[in-house]
Amino acid sequence: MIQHSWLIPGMPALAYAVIVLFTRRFKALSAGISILAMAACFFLSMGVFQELAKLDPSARTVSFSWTWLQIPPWEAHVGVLIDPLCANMLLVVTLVSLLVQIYSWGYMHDDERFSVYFSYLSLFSASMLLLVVANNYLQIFIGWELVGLCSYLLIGFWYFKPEAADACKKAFVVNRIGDMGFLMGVITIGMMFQTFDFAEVQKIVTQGLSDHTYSTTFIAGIALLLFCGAVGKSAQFPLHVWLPDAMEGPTPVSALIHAATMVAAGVYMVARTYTLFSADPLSMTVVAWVGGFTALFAATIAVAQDDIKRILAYSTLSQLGYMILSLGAGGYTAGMFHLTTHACFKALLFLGSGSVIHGLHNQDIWKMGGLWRKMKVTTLTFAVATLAIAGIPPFAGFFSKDAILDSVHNSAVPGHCVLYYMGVFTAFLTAFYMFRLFFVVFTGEPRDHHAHDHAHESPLNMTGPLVVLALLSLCVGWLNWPGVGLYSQFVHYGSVPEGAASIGVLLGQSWPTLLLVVAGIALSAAFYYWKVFSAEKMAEKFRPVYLLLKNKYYFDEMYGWLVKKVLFGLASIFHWFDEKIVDDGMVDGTGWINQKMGGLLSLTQTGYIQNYAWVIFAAVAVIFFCVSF
Amino acid sequence: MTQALFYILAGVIVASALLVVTVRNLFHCALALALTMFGVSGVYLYLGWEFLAAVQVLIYVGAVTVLIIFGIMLTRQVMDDKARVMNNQVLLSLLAAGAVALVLYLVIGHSDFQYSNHPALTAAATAPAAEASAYADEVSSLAAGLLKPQNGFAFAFEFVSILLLSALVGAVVVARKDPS
Amino acid sequence: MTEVPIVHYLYLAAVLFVIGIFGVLARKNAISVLMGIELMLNAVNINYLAFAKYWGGGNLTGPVFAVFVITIAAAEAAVALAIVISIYRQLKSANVDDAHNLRG
Repeated sequence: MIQHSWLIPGMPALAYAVIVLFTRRFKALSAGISILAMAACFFLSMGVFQELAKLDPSARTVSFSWTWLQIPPWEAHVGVLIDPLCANMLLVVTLVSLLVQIYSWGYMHDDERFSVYFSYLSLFSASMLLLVVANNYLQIFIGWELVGLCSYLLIGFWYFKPEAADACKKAFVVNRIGDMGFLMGVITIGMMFQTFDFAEVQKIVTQGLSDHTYSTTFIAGIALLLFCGAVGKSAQFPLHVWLPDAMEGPTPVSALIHAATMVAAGVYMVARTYTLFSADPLSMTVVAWVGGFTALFAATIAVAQDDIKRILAYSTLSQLGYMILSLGAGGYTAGMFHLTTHACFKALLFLGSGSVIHGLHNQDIWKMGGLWRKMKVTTLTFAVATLAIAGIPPFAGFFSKDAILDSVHNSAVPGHCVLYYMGVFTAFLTAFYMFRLFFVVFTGEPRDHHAHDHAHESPLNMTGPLVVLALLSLCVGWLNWPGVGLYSQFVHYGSVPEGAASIGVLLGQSWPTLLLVVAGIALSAAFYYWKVFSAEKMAEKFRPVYLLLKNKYYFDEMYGWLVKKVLFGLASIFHWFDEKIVDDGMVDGTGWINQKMGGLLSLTQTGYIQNYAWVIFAAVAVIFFCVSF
Repeated sequence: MTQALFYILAGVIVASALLVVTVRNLFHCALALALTMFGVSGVYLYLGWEFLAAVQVLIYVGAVTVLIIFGIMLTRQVMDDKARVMNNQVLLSLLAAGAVALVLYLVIGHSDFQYSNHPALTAAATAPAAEASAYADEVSSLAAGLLKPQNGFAFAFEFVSILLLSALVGAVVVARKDPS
Repeated sequence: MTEVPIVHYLYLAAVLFVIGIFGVLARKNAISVLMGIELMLNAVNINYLAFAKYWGGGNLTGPVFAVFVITIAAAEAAVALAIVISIYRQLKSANVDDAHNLRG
């Protein structure tokens, strides 16, 4: 099965080609091809996983590649690297993509560009899978950029909406900033190590560090360049601004971007190149602090948002911050485990919100309310996801979030205590804003009766994925059941698995967090369910804080100001240089010189044919003399 | 005696050719050209190529020269005696022509085209123009040389007929008055 | 009876050729230029036939080429005169140096 794993990115790519080339006119056929390809990928991934799990733990790395280009001393390969990390990601990506595609069949049913939509989805999954199976930096970069392109296409799928057109541009440009760093990192690796292969780079770096050929600071420099890419793609502070705007795309696309294909790429890349990151405390510290800060920062913004999808977007930012924090703090397994569980419940949250939007044609939570009467399945599954993300046992989020906090607590990163409390407080905020969302949308009385009357439960092909994801959100956490730790036995960095604490120790450690989470839920209920306190009055009382949060700390405005004043100022200097020196001086100068030389030479073009004939005969004589003497 | 004939012919050719390029009156130039062509046909005859000599007279003296005279008539510059005949690169032209002459002289002088080296000396011992009976043979052998496929000129020969046709049509098209 | 050496034919052709060159280069009138070209072509033909006679050994390539040259010269003369007449209509002159529209 593993030797066929190249088919995993191959099949969706093929589906993309087939849809674009042949079946654009046939909606159902296009969707069928796309879903079938994805389902095949999912089962193939299951097979790969199964086969990998049967191998000896020390032999769980299978890699093979084909030579693509040879430019000595470099060789570019296209290859597949299957190890537990990859197998884990393959399962997550293919499963979420499959469910999102099935869901999309219902959600996008009336769209005119239905086939195009499915072709983009296929390409998106193919790019992400190409990135996941990559065995070298060049291939991961190609997948990386393709993912960026697909996100651009899908966020701007409804390009006729100005907001969508702006959002996709923003996503693309902001990602480009991070990708620049990533590209520089990849180039540095190629220059210094003469290879792009993960395993070889790992070997060289390990060797170089042990005999002091490379300083740890140098490796940390490379790692931080790569991390720029992760900051862009996983929407970490300060490049987080694109992700909330990316909500302009169709909701299933948001689910795909947030759970499986796009933002996970950054986290995955950090995990994949963990050798470089773990070489020096500096890079680990930067990663941990960026992650921790983003987690808290985004959670505070989410408290004051009104758009159902934007709240979820900021919650994604916050959860991604957790993952990055975990990786930075040395919790490799915990970070990847949170990625896995988060994929399940975040996909569920987005698909659930999509179901709500599908029913109401509205995204403002203050126009919803009391939806549980109309949408039983959606409400129930949404509740599961909310409990999961809040971290209530035994739902998935509890286990992964707790593992992260645990690893931060035991970490050697400077200021890990502060980071730990930031993480705990973020957990509290998460519980608060997620239940705020849940209570406002699904409970109480309808606020907009007109919309409410039209609300209806979504069709089976939309609720089906919801139910599957809800079951997963409940159960996935058990994979790392305290004291057993199947997951940490499987996915770990280095040869020794991180130990899984027993359930007693776990509860002993995590009870303060759990208490805070329950407090958050209770506070949320007090505000929005029982209405003991008035949220409006609170907002009025702390108006500056409220406005600060509501406007996302004015980051968009700040970037706007930066671009307008600083960048445009710089640009005008360069523009002056370009216009005066390059254009007028060098370009026009080149033209002027050529013109004058041409003018001189044109004197030979007399137009008198006998002059030309004279040149011919004279040349015969001259050439003859030149040749013979 | 017969050698003297060649040198007389050569003198006539060179002299009339010089007239062609120097004489002011174009009509006289054309007549001198006709004389040159006669001289050249005489050389052909002297070499024993009686048929080609006849062709030379027919085409050059009979057709080309007449054509040129028609051209002169049509452009009506015959009687214009005041205009300069030479352009303003006469000296340069003399220089170039002299240089080419030097080149040719050196080439011929350095080559081994000597009479004694004649590979077919005995075969050609019969003097040119001595055997009048060669006439019929020359035409038929020339026809064979042109048209026998193994000689490789048959295609070119046919192609020349197309060239003549297109030159005919082309000349008409180019020289025709613009209908508008 | 002694033969005229072949070199003398070559010298005759060379002189005729050079005179032709001079005519082509120095005469103003287009028809004179044409006549210079005819002189050059005849010079070439003399060479062909002289070589064919003395060195040919029965090979007919020389006279065959002479035939081609004569034919093509006739065609060329016809086309060239047509061009001269056409130019004359345009410029009211048959002088080569009046047609210099291609000056750079």
